Amino acid sequence: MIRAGLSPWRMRVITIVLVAFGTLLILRLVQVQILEHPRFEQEARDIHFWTQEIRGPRGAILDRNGFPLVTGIDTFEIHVDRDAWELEGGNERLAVEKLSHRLGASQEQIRAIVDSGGGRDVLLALNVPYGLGEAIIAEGLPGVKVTSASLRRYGEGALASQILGFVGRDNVGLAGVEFNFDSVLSGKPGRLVYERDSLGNPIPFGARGMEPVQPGADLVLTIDRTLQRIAEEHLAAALEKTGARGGAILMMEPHTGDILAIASSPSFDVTNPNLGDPALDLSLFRNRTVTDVYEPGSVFKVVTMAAAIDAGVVTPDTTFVDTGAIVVGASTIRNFDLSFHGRQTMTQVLQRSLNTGAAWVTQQLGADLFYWYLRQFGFNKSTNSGFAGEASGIVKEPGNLFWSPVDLATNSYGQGISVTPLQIVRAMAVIANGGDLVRPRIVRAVITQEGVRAVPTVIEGRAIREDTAAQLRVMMQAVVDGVAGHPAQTPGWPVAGKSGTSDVAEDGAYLEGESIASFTGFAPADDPRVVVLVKLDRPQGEIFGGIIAAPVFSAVLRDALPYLGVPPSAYVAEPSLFEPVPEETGSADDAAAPTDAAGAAPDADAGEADAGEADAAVEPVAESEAAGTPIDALEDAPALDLQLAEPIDAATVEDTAPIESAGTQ
Amino acid sequence: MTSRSLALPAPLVRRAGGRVRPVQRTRLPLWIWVGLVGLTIAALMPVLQSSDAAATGATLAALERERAGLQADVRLLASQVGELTALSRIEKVAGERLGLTPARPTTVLAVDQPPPDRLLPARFLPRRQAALELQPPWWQQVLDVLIVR
Repeated sequence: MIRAGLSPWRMRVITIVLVAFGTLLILRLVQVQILEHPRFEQEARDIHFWTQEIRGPRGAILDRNGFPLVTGIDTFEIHVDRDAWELEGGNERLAVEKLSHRLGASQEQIRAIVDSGGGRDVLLALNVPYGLGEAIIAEGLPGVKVTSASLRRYGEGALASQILGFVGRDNVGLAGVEFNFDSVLSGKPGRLVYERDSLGNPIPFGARGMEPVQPGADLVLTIDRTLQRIAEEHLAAALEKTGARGGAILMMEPHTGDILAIASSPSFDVTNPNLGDPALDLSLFRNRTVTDVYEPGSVFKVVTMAAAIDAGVVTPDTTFVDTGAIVVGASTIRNFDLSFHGRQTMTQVLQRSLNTGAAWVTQQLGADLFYWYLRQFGFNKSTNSGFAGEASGIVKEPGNLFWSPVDLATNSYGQGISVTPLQIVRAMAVIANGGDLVRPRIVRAVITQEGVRAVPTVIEGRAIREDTAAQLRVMMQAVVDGVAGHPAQTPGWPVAGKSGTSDVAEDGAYLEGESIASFTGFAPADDPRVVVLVKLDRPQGEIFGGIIAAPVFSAVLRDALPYLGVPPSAYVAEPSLFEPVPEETGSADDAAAPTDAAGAAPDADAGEADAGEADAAVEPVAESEAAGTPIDALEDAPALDLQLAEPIDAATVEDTAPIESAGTQ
Repeated sequence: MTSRSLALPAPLVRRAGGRVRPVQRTRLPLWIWVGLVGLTIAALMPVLQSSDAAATGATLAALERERAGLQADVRLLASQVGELTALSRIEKVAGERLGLTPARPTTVLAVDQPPPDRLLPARFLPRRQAALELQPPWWQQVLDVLIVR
C-alpha cells in the first residue's frame, strides 16, 4: 500500500518553517508598523509632501514725506526641469516652442541655456513680468516651473545709493537700509506644503496646507529726497572744484535727531551696482559717515569750549594770553599759523581757532572732566543710529596704555582723537537743541498691515545745560558772522559754525601733505533747524576747511533753508555786533612762550581775522570752581532702546493721513 | 409549465387544498424605505461634499490668483508713481516741456498762510478693514444656540 502525502516529521518541519517565517514576518511588521512607525511615517511624508517657503512682497522704502525711493514689483523666474524634457522628447518640443513665442527668444537660445546649465533644475529667465509669467503658468508647459520673485525699482535713480543699499537675487538685503532693516522689509515668509508626484509636481487636489505669508513693512525714512539731492549735488560740485578724493555732506534735524541727508563719496549707482564684476570695490557700499573715523580738527574746539563753560571754568569773555605756544610736558603746542595774538577771549579763541587757547582751556578743565564731557557728548561709543557697522571712534583717556598729558592738549583741538562725521553732527546738535544728546535716527516710521508705528525720538541724556548751549550758539555765530567776509556767511540767515582742518592718519602715521577740510554748523543760529557737516577728504591745492568747506556749507544752507520753510530775512552779518568784551583777569604762569618751535602737528584753519595783540596771560580759574555743580546737575539718563511706538489704529487713518499722525514730529 | 405558473412566480403562490391562489403582496415597512433613502443620502453626501469642496477650492484658487494679480498691479502702479514723481523727471519735464529754468537769484515772498500739511500718500497706508460681516446660515445659528461652547 502506498501512503499518500508527507511523513509526519516532514510535516512538522514544514510547519515549523512556516510558523517561524510567520513569526519573523509578524515581528518585522511589529518593527515597521509599531516600533519604527514614526520614522517611516516621516520618511514617507518627506517623499510625498514638499514644503516650499514663500516670501511675501518686500516693503517699500519711502522718504520722510512719503515719496517712494525704493519699491518692489512682482515678477517671475522660469526654471526648466531637464529630466521632464529628457523623459519625453515631445515635452521639450512643445515647451520650447511655446516659451520661444512667449519670451521672444529663439528656440536655439532656449535650448542652449538649458543645455549649458548644470543639474536637473536650470534657470531660464529672470525678472519675467507678472502678466507674462501668469500666461506661461496658464499654459501648463511640461517641465517648466514658474516661481514668483520680485524686483526692486529705484524711483529716484542713484539718489541716496549708499543709504538705501540693495538686495541680492534671493531678495535678501545686502547693503544699506535694505540690509540694516531686512527683517522689517522682508516680513515673515510663509510655507506651502503639498503632495507631489514622482516628478515633484503638485498633485491636483492632493493634500495641501499653507502657512500664510506676512508681507514686509514699508519704511518711512528720515531722509528728505530734496535735501538729499541738494547734498549730493553740492558734494559733487565741491569735489570737482577742490580735487578732493572723497567727502561727505550730512544734514540732521537737531531736535529729533532725524538724519535728513547723507551724501558720501566715493559711492556707487544703486540701479547698477555691477555685483558680478570681480574688480568691484566693495568699500563703495560702505556708508563712510558712520563706518569711518577721522580726526575732526578744530571743529572739536567747540566741544572743548562747551565742556569748559558748562563746568564753569570759563565764560565766553574769559581771557587768556596767547603767546603763540604752550608747553605741555615735553611738547609744545602752537597755533596752526605759528602766530600769537596776546589777550584773547574764549570767543576769539574759537574765531581765530587758537590751538593754544583750546589747550589752555583743557588745562583749566582737567583731564577727568574733559573726558567725562566727551562721553556726555556721545563720543567713543556708537550713536545707535540703526546703521550697521557703525564705528565708535577712538578716544584715549587717562588710564589707557598710550595716553599722556599731551593727548589732553591735542584732543582739545581735535587731534589724536577719532570720531565719525555722524558723531560730530550729533555733538553740534547738542548745542543747537539746547543741550540734549539726541540719538540719530534714519527710520521715522514703519507701516505694517496693522497700522503705522512711529519710531520715537530718543534723548539719551543731557550733555550740557541749556544756558551753556545758548552761549555756545552765540560764540559759534561769532565765528561766522563775527568775522568780516567769512565764507560760511549766508545772507538772509544768521549762521553758526566752526571750521576744521586735520591731518590724515593712515596705518598709524600721518600722511605727508594730505588733509581733511571740514566745516560744521547750524542755521538759523538763533533757532536752529538744521545741522550741516561738510567734509572734504584730501583736497588738492587749498586745504583749509574755512576756505574750501565753508563756502559749500553756505551754499547748502542757501538751498536747504527755504525748502525747510525758513525764509530769508534782511539779516546781514555785522561783525561789530560780536566785538569781544573781555573780562578782566590775571596772568597765567603756565602760558609762557617757549623758545623752540618743535611740537605737535600744527592745526590749520582759515577765514579768521588776526588781531595780533600781545597781552599778559590770565590766571586759571580756581579748581574748586572748575569742579563745580554741573556734574551733579547732569543726570546720567539711561539710554532708551530704539523701539516702535504703539500702533496707530488703521481705521482712523483717512485717505491721506498727515505725517503728524505718525507721531514723529 | 402552465401559463398560470408563469404568471405567478413560485415565492408568491401558495398551494391550499389543491388550489393555487396568489399570495397577497406584503409591503416593505416604511422604516426600511426611510432607512434605504437615508443610507443613499448618506452615501451620496461625501460625494457631494467632495464635489462642493473641489468646486469651492477651484473658485478660491481662482480668486487668490486674481487677488495676487491685482496686488501685483498695485505694486507696479505704485512703482510707476514713484518714477513719475521723481525729482529728476520733474526737473526734466519742467525744463524740456515747460521751458522753466532754475530761479537765480530767488525772490522770496512772505505769504501769511500756514503751509498745507505734508501728507503720507494713502497708497502706502494699511488698508482699512472691510466692514462686511457675513450673516451665518440659519442652521449654524441654530447650532450656535443649541451647542454650549
